[in-house]
Amino acid sequence: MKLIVNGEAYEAKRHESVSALLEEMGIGGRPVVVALNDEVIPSSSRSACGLREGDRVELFRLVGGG
Amino acid sequence: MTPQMPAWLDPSPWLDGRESTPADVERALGCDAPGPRELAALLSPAAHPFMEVMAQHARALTQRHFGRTISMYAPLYLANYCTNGCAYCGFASDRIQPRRRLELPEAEDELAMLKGMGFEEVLLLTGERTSHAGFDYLLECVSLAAQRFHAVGIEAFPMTTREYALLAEAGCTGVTLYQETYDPRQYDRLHRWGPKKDYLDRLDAPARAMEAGMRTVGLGVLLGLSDPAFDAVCLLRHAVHLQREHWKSGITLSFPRLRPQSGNFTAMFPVDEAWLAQLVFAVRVVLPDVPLLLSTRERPEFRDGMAGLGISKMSAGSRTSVGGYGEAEPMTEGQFQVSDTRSVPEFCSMLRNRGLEPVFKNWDSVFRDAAGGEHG
Amino acid sequence: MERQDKAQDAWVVGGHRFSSRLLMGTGKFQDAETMVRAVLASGAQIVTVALRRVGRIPREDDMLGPLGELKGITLMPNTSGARNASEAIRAARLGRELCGSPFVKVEIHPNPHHLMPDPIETFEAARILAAEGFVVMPYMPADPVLAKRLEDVGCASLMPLGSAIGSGRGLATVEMLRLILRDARIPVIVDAGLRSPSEAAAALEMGCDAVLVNSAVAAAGDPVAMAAAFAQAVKAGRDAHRAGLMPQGGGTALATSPLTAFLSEEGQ
Repeated sequence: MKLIVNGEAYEAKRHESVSALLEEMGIGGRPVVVALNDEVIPSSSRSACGLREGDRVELFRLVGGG
Repeated sequence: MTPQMPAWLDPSPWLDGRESTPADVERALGCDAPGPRELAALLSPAAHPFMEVMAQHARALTQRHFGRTISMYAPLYLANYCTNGCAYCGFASDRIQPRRRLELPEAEDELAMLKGMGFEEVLLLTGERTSHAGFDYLLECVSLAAQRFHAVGIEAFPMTTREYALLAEAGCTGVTLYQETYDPRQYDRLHRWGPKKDYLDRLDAPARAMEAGMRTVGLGVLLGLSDPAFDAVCLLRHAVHLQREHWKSGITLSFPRLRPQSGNFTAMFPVDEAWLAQLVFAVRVVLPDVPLLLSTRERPEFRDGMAGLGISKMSAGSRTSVGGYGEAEPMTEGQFQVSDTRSVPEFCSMLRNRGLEPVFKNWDSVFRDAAGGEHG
Repeated sequence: MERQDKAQDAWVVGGHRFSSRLLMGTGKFQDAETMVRAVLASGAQIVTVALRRVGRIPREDDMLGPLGELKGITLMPNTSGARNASEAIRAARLGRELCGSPFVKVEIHPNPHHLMPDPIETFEAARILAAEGFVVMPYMPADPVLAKRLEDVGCASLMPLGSAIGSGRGLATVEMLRLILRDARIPVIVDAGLRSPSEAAAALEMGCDAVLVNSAVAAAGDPVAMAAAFAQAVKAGRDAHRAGLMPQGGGTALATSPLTAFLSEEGQ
């Protein structure tokens, strides 16, 4: 499935849910926040949240900052 | 039932009974951000040896924030009808005296006379809200005054926010309302009957005026009614509270003083000139940029000395009977006795001799929002 | 709302009570370990973090895992990187999701060189975020009128800058800070531009409720030791403020003809 992840084209093999996508990307266990088409998907909803062709996924994590 | 002082007003943390020391006074004078504690120290007996130093601080601060100027205004008593029973006031409802109000044509004449004397700021006064001189009457008078004067203040009775907003639209730029005394028990005792008995409503009224968009609110205490240091710290607390909550409006402060024998009322806590001077200096130090007023209730020599030493705004040539500017003989008794009876030119001449410039116009009504007043 | 909890000298922001008056930023450190040790040495209870997109194959050092495990620390995401209110609002919502806390430092600096905060975008973002229930702590120019406007729209605190981020110019805005402090009804936290612990102490001495430091610690020779020094300075400054500084010298000389001569005349 073709998705846009963090602004770049991405071919997802696992796309049945947001959780699955994260696992495929190797960031399954990491604290990240997921925005799907500009909507924040809470972690509790990720396994139930499906993906569609062309969806925009943005992933954020905390880094150092002032 | 004596009302409870709200927490923001309560001065007790700073009037803890501990005697202030000369060191406290020095600390207060050198403090970067003086507050109630510093005011209490500056008002204490320990500050007496510092009076000259305080006067110098007061003068320097007044010059810094107001220049070498004195803002001029004139009071106009519109009516002396009153339903209150204030023990200390010449207009109390049990005082037998002629009562009248200015009809609009008479008010016009009085306003024209004041304008002719050079004034650009007028303060319209009435007693408590009555059927003779209530809100509608006041609104009409404000509209009339606003046609001639750039700054129109009222000193009348507590009103609702809506009423204040209507007055602001009509051209009222300031509301003066003295709490008289902040001591709830003393307040209750002195205000024997009438709507003014409601301490909390009166206390809250200046805030309502600010909410309604009034540019300025005048606070004050009538010195002599209660422990003056207590009232002074409360006045400061009230002023600071309003400045924090309503940052777009300005405040002014006044310290009318019951002269030892005013009419039939003897002040329970008489305040002499020296104490009043100390109060003015102290308040100037603690609130460097707030206009401080002194009326013609005080004698000429005292007013001459205090002009510019903290005092930044004064009336002159005042009449305290109803109308009074157009009559040879007043038809009613004055609310208080005028001690400084000098004419406006005489008073201004004195100011100039002391290096102060009288300023009659400080603001232009053309700045008023066309839709009618600011709504905060 | 009372700014201070007089009993233990705690301060209250957004309904939360804190005893430490030193806030720490986590940016610019050479590595996660130093950053965490510095935060611990500072005693800070509020620690700012930023948001970045996570790479497809994350290579970066996980700066914040260990921080998240520390007890007693509130992570406060900043919106740094946002150039306008909508970006800041979006970042705030993402940050809340990640940190699980309602705290947000609204930081909007469109110019990447001097990093000065945009007052208009900051006000807009603060207004909207406060209405959404965030504990809004706006990074702002030290402007007394802007301070009241931000208060009016529901900010939980004010974070006026001391001087430009990373400039180390200290409390260049001291006179403006005095005006802000005079009329503030919410805590005032000086943020940005502090270089030395003495500057932090000075901020607390003058009455500020707290300070936030980042560059001054991260870029110090020994960041962990510097963080500890800042902690001591903040406490010293606060204690001094409560103790009451002695009056400044330079009293006025008496004039030759006293101003108060008229008072000894006959009067009543």
